[in-house]
Parts: sequence; C-alpha cells; structure tokens
Amino acid sequence: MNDDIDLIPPTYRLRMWQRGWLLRCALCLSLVLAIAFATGAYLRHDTDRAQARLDELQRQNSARTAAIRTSADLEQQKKTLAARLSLTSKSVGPLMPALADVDAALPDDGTLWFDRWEVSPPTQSFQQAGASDAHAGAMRIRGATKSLSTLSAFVSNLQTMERFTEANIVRTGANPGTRDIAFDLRIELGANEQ
Amino acid sequence: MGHPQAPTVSLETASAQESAAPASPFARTLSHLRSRYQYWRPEPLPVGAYIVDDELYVAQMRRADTSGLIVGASYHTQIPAGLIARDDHVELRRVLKAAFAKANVRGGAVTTVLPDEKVRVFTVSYHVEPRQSEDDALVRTLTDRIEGLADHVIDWIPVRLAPEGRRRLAIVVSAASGDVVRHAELWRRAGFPPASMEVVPTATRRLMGQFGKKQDHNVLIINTRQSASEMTLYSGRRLQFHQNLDFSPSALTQQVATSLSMTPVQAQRMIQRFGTGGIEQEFHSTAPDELALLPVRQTLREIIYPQLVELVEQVNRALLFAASENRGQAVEEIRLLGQISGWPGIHDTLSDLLHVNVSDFRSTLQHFGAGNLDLSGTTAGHSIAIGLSLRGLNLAANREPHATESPEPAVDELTDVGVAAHAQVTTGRIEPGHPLGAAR
Repeated sequence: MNDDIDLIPPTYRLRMWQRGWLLRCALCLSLVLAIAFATGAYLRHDTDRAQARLDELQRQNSARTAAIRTSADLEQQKKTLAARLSLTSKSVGPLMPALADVDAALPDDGTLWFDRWEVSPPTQSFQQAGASDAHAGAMRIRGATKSLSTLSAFVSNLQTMERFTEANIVRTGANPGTRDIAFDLRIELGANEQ
Repeated sequence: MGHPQAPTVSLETASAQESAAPASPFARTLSHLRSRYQYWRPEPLPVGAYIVDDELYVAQMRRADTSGLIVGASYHTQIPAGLIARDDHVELRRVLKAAFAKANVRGGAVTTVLPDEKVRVFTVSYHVEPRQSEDDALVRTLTDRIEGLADHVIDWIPVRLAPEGRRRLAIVVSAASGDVVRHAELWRRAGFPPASMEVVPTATRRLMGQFGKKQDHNVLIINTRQSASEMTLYSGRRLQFHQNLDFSPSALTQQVATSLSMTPVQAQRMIQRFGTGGIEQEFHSTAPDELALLPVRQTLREIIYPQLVELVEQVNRALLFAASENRGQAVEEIRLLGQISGWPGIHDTLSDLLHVNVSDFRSTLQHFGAGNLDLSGTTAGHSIAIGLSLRGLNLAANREPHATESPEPAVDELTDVGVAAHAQVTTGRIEPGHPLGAAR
C-alpha cells in the first residue's frame, strides 16, 4: 500500500534518468577513449624507443664489427711488416740510420706510422750500400700520419738526403682506422756519394 | 493482528518489501546477494531536508541495535533570506553541504517539501460512475476545481472508498508543474537531487503513525504558517481530512504590536520571551518568577484572545466533523506545528479554550530517541524533517509493544457504512497530459 505523496512528475524523473544514463555513457566513452589514446601513445612511444634502441645497437654492432675488422687488419699488417722487416733487416740495414735521421728531422708533433716497407730489387745494391758504387733500387713505404704537413716534411727530408735521389708520394687517402692519412711513398735510391 | 505486537527489527525499505518473493532462481540468488551485501554495507537511510521561514532542518534516522530506528542526525541552521525564492543553487549547495557535514549525515536520498505558497492541499468529494475508473472520476472533478489542470502536477490520497455511485473522499495535493520542476532543478543543481518531494501533512503522518498508541488514535495537527494555516486530521496512520485555516501567526504578532505600540519584531520577541501561559497553569503557579510574569502573560493573552477564538471555532467544527467521520470517536489530542508552537504557554492557552490536550512534537521526538540531540530551532521543524526522513522506511520495529492493531478493513466492509468509518489509503498521481491510469 503506497500512501505517500510525491509531486515530482514522472516525466521529470524520466528526463533525469535519461540524463543520468547519458552522463554515465559519456563518462564511460570518455574513459574508454582516454584509455585507448593513452595506450596508443604509450605503444607509439615504446615503438619509437625500441626503434631507437635497435638503431643504436645496430650502430654499435657496426662500429664493433668495423673495429674488429680494423683490428684484425692491423694485426695482419703488423705481422706482415714484422715478417718483412725481419726478412729484410739485413738488406735494409743501411737504410735504417737514414730513416732514423729523417725521424729526427721531423717536427715534434709529427708522427708517422710505417706499415709496410717494400724494397724493390736489386736488393743486392743495398747490401753494398756502404760502398760508393752502391746505387740503384727503389723502395716503397706505406704508412699513415696524422697530418699532411708531417708527411710533406718527411718527404722533403728524404729528398734532401743524398742517398735518395727521388721520393714521391704515390697516393694518399683516408684511413678507415684510427690514422687519418694513408700514404704510399716511392723512393728511388741513388748512389752513395760517400 | 489484534494482539500485542512484539517489537521486531525489520528495517527493510518499502521498495525492498515490494520486491520480496523473487520469481526465478536467478532473482532469488540476486536478492540473496543483495541482502548479504546490504548486511555488510547497509544502504544510507533517506535524508529529510525541510526549509521554512529561512531556516533549514536536516534529519536522518539511524539503525539502532535494539530499538529499530532512532534519530541519528537532526540539525537546524539559519539560511540566507529568500534563498529558495532567488533560485540560488550555489548558495543552497554551500548551505546544504555545511549542514550535512555538521549533522554528520551520510549520503542518502533527499526528501524535501515544496514551499507552502506553491502547493495546495485540499479535500475533494467525488462520485465514481459505473464502469468508470477512480482516476477518471477524480480528474473530472478536479477539472472543475483547478484551472489549467494540464499544467499541474497532482497527487492524491483516497480517504474514503465507497461503491460506485456513492460519494468518495480524497485528499488532493496540487502544484504547478513549472514550480515543481523549478524547485527540483534548484536542488539538483545544488548537488542534492530530491528523491521525492512531498508536503507537510504526509511527513507528520509518518510521525503520528509511529506515535499513535492504537490504530484509530485520532490526532488533529494544526500547522500555522505566515501565509495560511492548515489543519489535518489523522486517524492512526491514515489521513482523514485536510482543511485550510483562516489564521495567521503574523496577524497575532501584528495585533500585539498595535495594542502595545511597538514594532512587530519587538512584539514577536516579547511573545517568544514571555509567552501566553494558561489559566490552569497560572492557578497552580507558586514560583516567584512565574508569578511576576503573570500580568504580562495575561495581557498578551487578552490581546490575542479574539483571534484565538476564531481559530478555536474553526477547530471545533473540525472536531465535530472528525467525530462524525469516526463514529463518535473524539479527537484525543491536538498537535501544534509552525511558528506559534514555539511560543511559551500557547499549548496551555489553546488547551483551555478547546478542552483537548494541545501539545507539540517534543514527546514524539523523544520517542524516536532525539532527546539527546541538540534540537535548536523549533520542535515542529525538526519533527517535519524527521518525518521526511522516514519516507520509505518500514517502521514496524518502532511501534510501541502495547499498540493495538486492527486489521485494515476491506473495501466491501466500508460500503454499508453511511459515513465511512475507516479509510483505505492508497495513492495515485495525475500527470498533466497523460491519462490518469497511465500515470499511476
């Protein structure tokens, strides 16, 4: 038995009920959209971050691979140079003091790395380099330096030395390793005036 | 029933009672889960909010372990003048929030009343023709009485049911739809959407229904308002009739002010301070302080006596009508509501004139355990707010153990009673623009 008075019109109640549910629906929709946008933004940010990380890893990998390759090449070059030097130490013995002089004449800040020495025949000439008739022959020196001026100074010094009739830079180029300028010298040996 | 009823704690809401006995196993499971949930987390009880004469009264019942429901919160505060008339929802929100916080009211459905000046309560007599519905008959009668019925919201309580062709009686509450919606919107925008909006007589009826010692305990409630006063007759929990009174407390105040050459405000303060007192009370008064006040009280009583006599004549007619409606059973007590209920001694004055016990709702509030609360403001305001907060609650637990309940009479039993002895109370609503049956 309902014996209460209520003056609120049912139409008003219905309108309030509809408004309430519309508000609830709008809130739910907003919440769902907000969650979707937040998830999308997070995933996009995560993808970008993962891509950047992948790029960084690839770059590091490439650098590491290059470094390993360079290191391996250098090791191989060192071994080759050491082997050749050991083979030709006697042959180029007379040359070494001259090179020592060259080194002494270099600017203080200049550094030259000699990777490969190639001495062209007749090697016998060098064996008699101490004699006055010792002449003829050629040698190639490959190496690298930090500065072109150092290399130029080195070549100039070679050219001023009496035993070297001619020293030419065959080619220069950038070294992919730590050394900046690679050089390839061809040196013509002349007669020893002494 | 008809036997002493043991107090049982039954605190389900009316809606929960209606949804009892679920049909399907799913519904039974759902009901079981809901009851388990409500056991652990009880639903907040309704809140009654009553605004009158720039005062706000807030009340909420509380579940007690042993005695069913007691008043858990009752609070009174002054609000800015004309707050409701200005439709100031911002200020109303501030006032309500502060009041709810101070009263320690937990969130619940708010029941409030429409301002008195915007609602009409009246008794309607109507006939139901053969093969005519109750609603159709009532709306046909109301069409003649209410101009622009389609723009009104109407709710009604049948008081007397009779067979077709006989005269029936209903108490009708009407208000302009615009006013109701505007008032509901004001509360909604203030953040407290009203769950229901009713009138003072139905709120006080809940109190009377709980306080009445027996089913046909006849009580007349006089609600004095600034604009127009009204009186409502209750028989137990049933409304018997409602009638407007040609009586205004402000007229009494004005009469005192004119007679004593003072302002109405001064007169109001004087009445509230000294009161009117009763002849019987003065006869037994021996305290020196009381004796010193006797001349003032007698003066005040003599000034307002002519207007009180007019009130008494109207009330006496209502008492006669009540006796005819209730097969000679007299009205046993009269309760005062409104502004004059706070005047000291006015109850004794009216008791002397009416020869019926006149009181306020103080004893009712004590019955609900509100005696320990700080009940500033008027007792009437707190009573109505508590009555509003009782809406939808099953208060069988609060009925006094010695209350004698008589079974509700069937409609058939009423048909041969010339003047209906009982009232079958149901309710209906007429929604503007809708057929009556569809709106119920």
